[in-house]
Amino acid sequence: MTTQWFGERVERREDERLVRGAGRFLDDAGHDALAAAFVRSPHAHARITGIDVSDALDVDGLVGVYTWDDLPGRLADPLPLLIPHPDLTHPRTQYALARGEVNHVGEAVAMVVAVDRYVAEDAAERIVVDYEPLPAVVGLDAARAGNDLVHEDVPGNVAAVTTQELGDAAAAVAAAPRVLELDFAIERSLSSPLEGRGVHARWDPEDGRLRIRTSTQTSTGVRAAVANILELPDVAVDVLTPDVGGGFGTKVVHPYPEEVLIPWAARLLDREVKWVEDRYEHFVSATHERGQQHHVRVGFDDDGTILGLEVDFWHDTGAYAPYGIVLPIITATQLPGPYRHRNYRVTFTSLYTNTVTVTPYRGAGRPQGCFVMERTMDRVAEALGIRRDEVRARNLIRPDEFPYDFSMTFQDGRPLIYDSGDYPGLLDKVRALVGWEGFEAERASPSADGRRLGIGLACYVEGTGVGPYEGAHVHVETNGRVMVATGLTSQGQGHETVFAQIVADELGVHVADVYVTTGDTRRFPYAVGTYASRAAVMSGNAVALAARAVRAKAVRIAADALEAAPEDLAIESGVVHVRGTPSRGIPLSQVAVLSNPLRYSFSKEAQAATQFASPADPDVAPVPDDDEPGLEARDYYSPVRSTFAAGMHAAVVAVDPETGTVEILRYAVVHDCGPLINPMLVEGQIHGGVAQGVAGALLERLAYDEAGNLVNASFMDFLMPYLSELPVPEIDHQETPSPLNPLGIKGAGEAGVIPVSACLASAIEDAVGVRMDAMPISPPELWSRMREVEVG
Amino acid sequence: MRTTFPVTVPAEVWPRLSEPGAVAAALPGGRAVTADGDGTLSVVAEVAVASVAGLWSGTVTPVDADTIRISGAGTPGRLDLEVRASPDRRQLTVEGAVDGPLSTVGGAVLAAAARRLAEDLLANLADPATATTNPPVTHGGTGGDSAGAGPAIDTSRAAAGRSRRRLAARAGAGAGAVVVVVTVVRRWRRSPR
Repeated sequence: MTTQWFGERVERREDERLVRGAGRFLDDAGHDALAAAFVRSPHAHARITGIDVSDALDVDGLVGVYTWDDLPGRLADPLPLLIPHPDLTHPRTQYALARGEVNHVGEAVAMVVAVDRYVAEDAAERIVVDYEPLPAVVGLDAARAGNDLVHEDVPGNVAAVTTQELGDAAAAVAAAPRVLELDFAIERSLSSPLEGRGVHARWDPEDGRLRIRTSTQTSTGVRAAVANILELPDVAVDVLTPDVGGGFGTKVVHPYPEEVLIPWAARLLDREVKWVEDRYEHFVSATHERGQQHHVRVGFDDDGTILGLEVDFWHDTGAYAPYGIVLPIITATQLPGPYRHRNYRVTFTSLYTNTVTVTPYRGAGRPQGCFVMERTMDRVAEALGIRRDEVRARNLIRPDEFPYDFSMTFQDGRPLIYDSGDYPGLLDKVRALVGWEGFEAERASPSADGRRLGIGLACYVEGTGVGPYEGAHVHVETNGRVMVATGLTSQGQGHETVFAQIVADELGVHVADVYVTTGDTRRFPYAVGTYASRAAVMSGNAVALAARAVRAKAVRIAADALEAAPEDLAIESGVVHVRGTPSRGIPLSQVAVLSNPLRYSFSKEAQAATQFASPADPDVAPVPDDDEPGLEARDYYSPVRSTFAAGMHAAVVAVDPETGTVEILRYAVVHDCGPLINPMLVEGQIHGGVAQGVAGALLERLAYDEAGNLVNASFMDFLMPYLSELPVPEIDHQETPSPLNPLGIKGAGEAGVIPVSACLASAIEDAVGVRMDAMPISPPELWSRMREVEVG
Repeated sequence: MRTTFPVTVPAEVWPRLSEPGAVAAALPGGRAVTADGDGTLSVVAEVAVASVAGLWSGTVTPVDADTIRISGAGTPGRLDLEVRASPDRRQLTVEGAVDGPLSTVGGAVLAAAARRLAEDLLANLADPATATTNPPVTHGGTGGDSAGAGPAIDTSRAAAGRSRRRLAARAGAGAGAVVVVVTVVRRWRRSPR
């Protein structure tokens, strides 16, 4: 009987070690390493006029203090611009250590290395940096005004201006029977993984090799950057990603300054060196996201059909732009959502501010785009007096319209073409799941506590599985273990489980016999990284392709051993056998033995592969020209373009008019990421995404004062939600396969977070009647807005 | 490395700068200072900067009225430095190559240690009572890698005695900078004003 692992709720392979406390995170390594601490700027914008380390000399255990002046070669250059773009006319990236000027609170000025972290912190406290403060540009209003400049050679603080257009939006809006002009804004937040960043490096002088452990989302990216900056051969740098306690985007940045400085120090000192980010450092030096302002002109007819959409928005990229303009490109290209646009023009301006650099955070520009589009749909419905779900239904792309080409360029530089989907099906499901039709009766029923009920809805499309490629290596060992390696990393998503499920199906083995390694450049040196909801699509298909190649080789070798035709063979339960004759078979472990012709036996089983074990064709080489020893294969998956997942959220909320507190009574998620590899893991991703979405809508924000100080840079003041504040979403799946990849799958990692602010804004507005044009919203803010409405 | 820092030389210090024994006693970490007769000084000193510690020995040679050259090596590393006095004799600039363990502590540390060393040396010469912690002069150094012993980066230093820590803290940016200060001040006395 064949076991199908794909689609099963297989328990996570990772959890056994994690729940026992046996996980190996960054800080579990390098207990004897020297420790680094950083002196960081207390100013948002200032010139550095002097650094005096005299008092630090008295700290026993100090090993060294390093400033920009100490950095050699390319390490003294600005860090790489990761994603150049022709429209990024003024790219600026930071130095590993500030060179004469700091541009945000938290920018690293000096690195202290000492015998342990306590000593390093003590020494760092004694270092005196003289600053000459400069005017700080804080927030988009100040950046757009351009009265002060973040970088004196960047006029107007403008890093980039980009326009994309489908059709003729201006003409369409001008000709539309009805037009609305709207403004929407989303505030800045950050990823806040429970485990912050960290780097541990060891230089091996005998072998001339650098080994780096880093809590990253891209080990190969770190490897390439470090090798280049430290001017080492690529093959002399190994990067290992240990267990990672969450990334959510911020750890895809590479190299962070610490990721090059710690390896450099390890080599300089010929000692292990480690740095582990503390929570304050995470707030002020790990990247942020989300801050954007948007202006919309939408033209529509009396039925609510969108005829033209013009969007201008302003993106806060923070002090530097190492990630280029990918984030606003994502907003621009994902804003249209599941709707049939014929005339859409979007222009964004990316602006520098004296705040922490901005790079993707789970959702990555999509929550903002979704908020703008979904709020616009609600406004159109309001203007026409039709139901919010109905105005959406009238504009959804129909299943027979795929592939749907927007004639725009997506974040991967490839065409923005939706590959497949059933959006009306999603709408039907979410309406049923949340109880949309029965809600008005629910709202009208007497409320015991005086709270006001509201219902909201938001829809999204998410481009997932962006290229350029991922690869995998699958190796059946002679002990029957199937060893799988893929280069992208895991931050806790469950890659060891889902990739094992895929390989188990392809090879006909038990999932427990498949062992997956991720993010170790020694095992697989070519990879891109884990971001953009791409791991399952990219590495999932790569491991499938590599496993299929192994299967083909196993069948070929077994056919020879069994004297059967390859097409007559099947693999089940780890045995290659003749179909219909299970007794006539050979285990994969033995096939692995036979795949590697031996002179020297190493076990009783291996004797079968030695040169006198069986007669052989004297005219055929033991390893023919077109073959390789070993039952293993390597393959890559590279998509022509992204595949587009979709979903819809709906929520019922209760708002307390006395306090402004919002309680989420029901939260419904309908999600389509194609065939589910493991429904339990997909649901886990949705749960986590919704949690971050609710946090971003109702609790979390980064509060800067006018001087550029982040005034809530701790978990005392930055309100990460507890479980008690979070709904347990009701989830329904729709599975529309992608035609773009062998497994037909789409990404699921970010989806949960994308529409939450839009959905809750819609529900709160429905409940209390205030205009929800900006998120997040706190109870005091909502209370004040409600009072304004009451006063009129 | 390159660093510039102010120095103050009290009048009563001048005579003591011509006494190798006084300088040896005043030199933080100093073990020996020997005049070779041709204007060159040979020095042995214990150096401790951050976690780099060990014996260093070398020579200091006059270059011109305002500049001396210092070179030598030891466990802390090899120094090849020039030291220039400013025209008003109120600043010193130390510039040159630092190799070996001392080169790993960072330029800001070297600069801070050099300045502290100069200040401590001159203070010790001004008040000889503060300079009694050095061991008696035992020999004149000749320079070279053989001087000194122990680990190049002594991270066990925290376990050492308090007096050694004080000494280490004072020893500053290496014996080179120490000798530089001594020699330059001596040459200032000789140079025409």
